[in-house]
Amino acid sequence: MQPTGESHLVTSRDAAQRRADQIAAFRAEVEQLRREGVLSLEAADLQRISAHQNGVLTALAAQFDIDRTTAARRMSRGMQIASLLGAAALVAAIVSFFYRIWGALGTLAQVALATAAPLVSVLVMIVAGRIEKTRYVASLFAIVACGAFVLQTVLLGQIFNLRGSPHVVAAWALFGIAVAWPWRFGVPFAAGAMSLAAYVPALLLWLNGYSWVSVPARPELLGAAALLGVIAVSRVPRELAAWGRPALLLVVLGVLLALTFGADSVFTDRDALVEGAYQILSAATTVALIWFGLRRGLEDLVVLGSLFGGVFLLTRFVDWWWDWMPKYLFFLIIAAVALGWLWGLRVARRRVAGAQA
Amino acid sequence: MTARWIALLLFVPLAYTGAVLATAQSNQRTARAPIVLTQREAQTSFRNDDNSATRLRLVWQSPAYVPPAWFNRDKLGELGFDVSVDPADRRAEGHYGRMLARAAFVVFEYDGPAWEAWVATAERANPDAPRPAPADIRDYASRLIAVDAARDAETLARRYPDGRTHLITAAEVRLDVVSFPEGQGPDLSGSILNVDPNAVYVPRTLAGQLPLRERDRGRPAPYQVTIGYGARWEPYVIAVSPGAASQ
Repeated sequence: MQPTGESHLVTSRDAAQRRADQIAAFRAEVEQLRREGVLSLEAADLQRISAHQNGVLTALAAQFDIDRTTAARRMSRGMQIASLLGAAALVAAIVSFFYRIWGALGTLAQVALATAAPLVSVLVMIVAGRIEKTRYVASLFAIVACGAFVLQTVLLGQIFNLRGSPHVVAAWALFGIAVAWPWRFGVPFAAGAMSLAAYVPALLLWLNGYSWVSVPARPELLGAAALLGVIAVSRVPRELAAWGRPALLLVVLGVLLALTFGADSVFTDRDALVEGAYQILSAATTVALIWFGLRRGLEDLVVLGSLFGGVFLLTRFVDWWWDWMPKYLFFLIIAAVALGWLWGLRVARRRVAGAQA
Repeated sequence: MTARWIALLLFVPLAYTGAVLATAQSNQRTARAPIVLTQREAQTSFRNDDNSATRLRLVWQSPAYVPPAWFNRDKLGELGFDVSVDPADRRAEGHYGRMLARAAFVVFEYDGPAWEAWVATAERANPDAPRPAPADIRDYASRLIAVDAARDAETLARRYPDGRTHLITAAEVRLDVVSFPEGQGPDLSGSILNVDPNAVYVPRTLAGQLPLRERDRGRPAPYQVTIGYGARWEPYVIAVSPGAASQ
């Protein structure tokens, strides 16, 4: 039987996987309800539904190579990690190779090779994507293409002794997003989104006559740009947002954490006041992230909020108490706070569940 | 739709290379004379199996004990620094303490009066302080001394028209609160953090004439290198000749 109806609307592997998961959950629940004697559907109806679902699954498997079992899903996770590591290693190999040989090449060969690297990577990515439905190899070469493009810009800058410009960061962002968008590759999208977030403050500094590489000395600008990115990313396709949002949030939270330690700031002359304000903001951010994540069912926000809250509290406690407090008391307080944290999360979860019921 | 994305992906690297080549081409259209430096001012990168390219790093002299008179509060104001707070004021530390470096253009004078003055100052400023022997300074130290800075390079090019004696380059400059000379109150002075680009690539055809520089092998063999700073104030190596300069 051919898939009908909604299955025709499935356009990506993530969407296909969600449909397959939905079917598996439906079948498990039907079986459970039958055993509990609640369901009284006719056998013919069940058979018709089952046949339709089998058709959908077959079509999705043929088109997207979805995981139909838990074991297959675990294997997929392993393959994702392997492709990420493979991509990192391949980029490192290409960069090392270029630097090892480029002194022996003439300028024309250097330019040709540096330009060819991202082009070849893109072509391999396209071919791999057509051959292999899971796109693990294609996603590996998408990351390699991004690395090769960054290498191209750096090498050409060195060969022709170009002055530094923030616009090169914009080119990285454009390329990363262009690689990611049509095929829904998460890592290049996250890299592109972070490059874009870095470009905004670099451009602002550059336009005002400052050295554009001074972005770390004004981290609020980077944090604000990344925060705008987090908001904007909610409008992009779900598969890309799943990578872009946590990546940009990590930038925001990293900036916030650095500011609580008195890192350079746009507020230059009130160190204690600024640190205190950022500590309050960090605590508020933790609560806001977890609350918003629970309300909207965004698991990544809850995880990031909890991790950030934990790291923030730990660093604060060390800063405030480590030097003068007995160590047993210090760790006892940490344990008490962790238990309180758990209790707070349980209450929040119960309230959210109650509100959604 | 995907075809358009693929076209964009193939276009971006090609367009980037095209833009760089056009930029490099336009940079070389300049009437300014190139400058001839030696191993003292343009040091080759160390030999390294992991990086086979040869690059020259520009070396210039930091102020000898006293801040340069020309890089004062007025000059910092010209470069865009907010110098409105008196350096002796109690607000000065907060105001100047974390001021960002600014992009500017600087002029280095090569082996001229500024160098002679620098050597004389270094020799008489503090005779007891540990420092390189006078012979080391005279024979081995870089003779590039910063003598001026401005927001745009054209202003400097008009003031210092001879490219053979004055090297103009983009740079990153910083504001410092200093207390020199002794006994006077704090004042503002500028310093050069970095030049941009901070190294000049030597094409393969010329790199072979440069002596290899290896760690722990003493002073590098003498050479001369002719460097042009183009219309975009980006450097390029024109010629390399091994051996000491004829005096």
